Amino acid sequence: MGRDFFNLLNIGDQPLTVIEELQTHYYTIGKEVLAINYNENLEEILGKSLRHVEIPPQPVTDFRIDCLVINPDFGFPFQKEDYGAQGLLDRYNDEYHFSTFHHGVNSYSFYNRKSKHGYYLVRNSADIPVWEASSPFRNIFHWWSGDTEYQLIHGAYLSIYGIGIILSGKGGSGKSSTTIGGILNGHKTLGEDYLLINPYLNEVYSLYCTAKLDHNAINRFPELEVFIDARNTNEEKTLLYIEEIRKGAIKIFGKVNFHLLPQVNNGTHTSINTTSSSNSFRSLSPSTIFQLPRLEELSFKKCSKFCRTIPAYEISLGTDPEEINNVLDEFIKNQLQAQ
Amino acid sequence: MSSILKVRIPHVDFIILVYEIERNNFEEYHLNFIRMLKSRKAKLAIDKFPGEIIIVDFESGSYYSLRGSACIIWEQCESGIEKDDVIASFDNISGEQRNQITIFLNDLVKENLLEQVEHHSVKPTEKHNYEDILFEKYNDMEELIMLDPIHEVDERGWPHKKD
Repeated sequence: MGRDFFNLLNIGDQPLTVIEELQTHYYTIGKEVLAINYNENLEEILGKSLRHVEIPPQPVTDFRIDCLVINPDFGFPFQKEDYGAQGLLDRYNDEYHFSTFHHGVNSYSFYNRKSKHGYYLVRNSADIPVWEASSPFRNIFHWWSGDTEYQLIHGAYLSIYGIGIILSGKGGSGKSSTTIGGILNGHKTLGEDYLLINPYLNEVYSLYCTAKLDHNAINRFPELEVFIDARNTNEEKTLLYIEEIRKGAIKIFGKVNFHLLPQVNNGTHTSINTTSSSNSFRSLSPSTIFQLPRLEELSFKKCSKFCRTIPAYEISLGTDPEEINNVLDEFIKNQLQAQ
Repeated sequence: MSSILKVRIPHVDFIILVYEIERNNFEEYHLNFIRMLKSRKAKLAIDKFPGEIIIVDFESGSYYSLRGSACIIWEQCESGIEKDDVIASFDNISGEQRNQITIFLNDLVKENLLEQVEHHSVKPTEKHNYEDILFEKYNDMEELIMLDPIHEVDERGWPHKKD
């Protein structure tokens, strides 16, 4: 166990875990190699959303995370009163260390940018809600990306006839249902909620093979009802694994050609119109920057670079998934003809 | 007589568009030398797009859109300028447009994006054509950033607000 973490928290030699045995899994995150050491059943709960980017054991890794259920007697040296906005713990954040406590999950995330070593600690794996399992370690990925060309963004991706589209917008904008509709229509995706972009090369990498849909959206796709997890029925959204929706629908890398800004229009027809790079920026950046603690200015610059480079369109969404798919297909075909 | 229109729409705190102006309401706006608030520069990010400037305040979670002549005025304020020199930098400006500039500057000060200081600046030499100012404040992220991560969130934790 890295001493930097213990030194920062000044917690001496308390035993951090009861079960010492770790399972190590390796993943490609962007073009870098990540090793995650899991104990107990955490790989089954949290690692499932990363299995599509899992690779065989590697002799060299670029960064690593210890994902641990901690000893119930272990005492963190902070109280609820110490949490600031976004769960940031001011005392344990500085130029090289990033640290948040997630009250809803009872999880602690930490990253040391010098040693490239993160911790994701939970008290009890049974406390991890389904929605957390859909996009685990996102704060750690965000902090790691600060020393790379990558940026974690809040957005979805569809590949239609080889053309890559990023969809971004606030909750309820229709981003998820458009993506799921595209998957059911035979198109591929890199993810539905969070993506990793390289704004300097217009590249996108998949992080999570999950999708979350609210119940209204599920009702529009009756073929998805069979996938609803029984644990999940009381949740606002349902967690789906993309490979279960359609085998081969998830891919791990793509180029991005267009940025689409969806907006539900309550019943009228679906249409696509050009929009400005500043609208593109307003759609992508705030929800990305303010959901991911720290490195705000760097994230701002990377999002700005992306939005200035990629042509943006507004898609006004009707309620008929088939019509949405037809309009999207037509849009892409027109773009391909124009090339 | 006329008035400045400030409208409220969801997640947008105000939009200033000058339609009408009541001159009597302008007595409160006594701005002298103004400049971008240096003490808060680290907490602001500013991005300039064609025809629009976007300012994000990382501390409060607010973000702003400036269009029309607001872009030129903001750039003048970045290094510091007298209010009268801002007005003088526009060609053939009407009384209504002068008041629009005054209100806009006042709102920038109220939003802690500009500050008033004592000393003077180099006067602008370039003249500009005036375009109506459009100044929008978005507060949808403000709620998210200011949310108490313990007491104001549901069982899922930040950023999920209690109903």
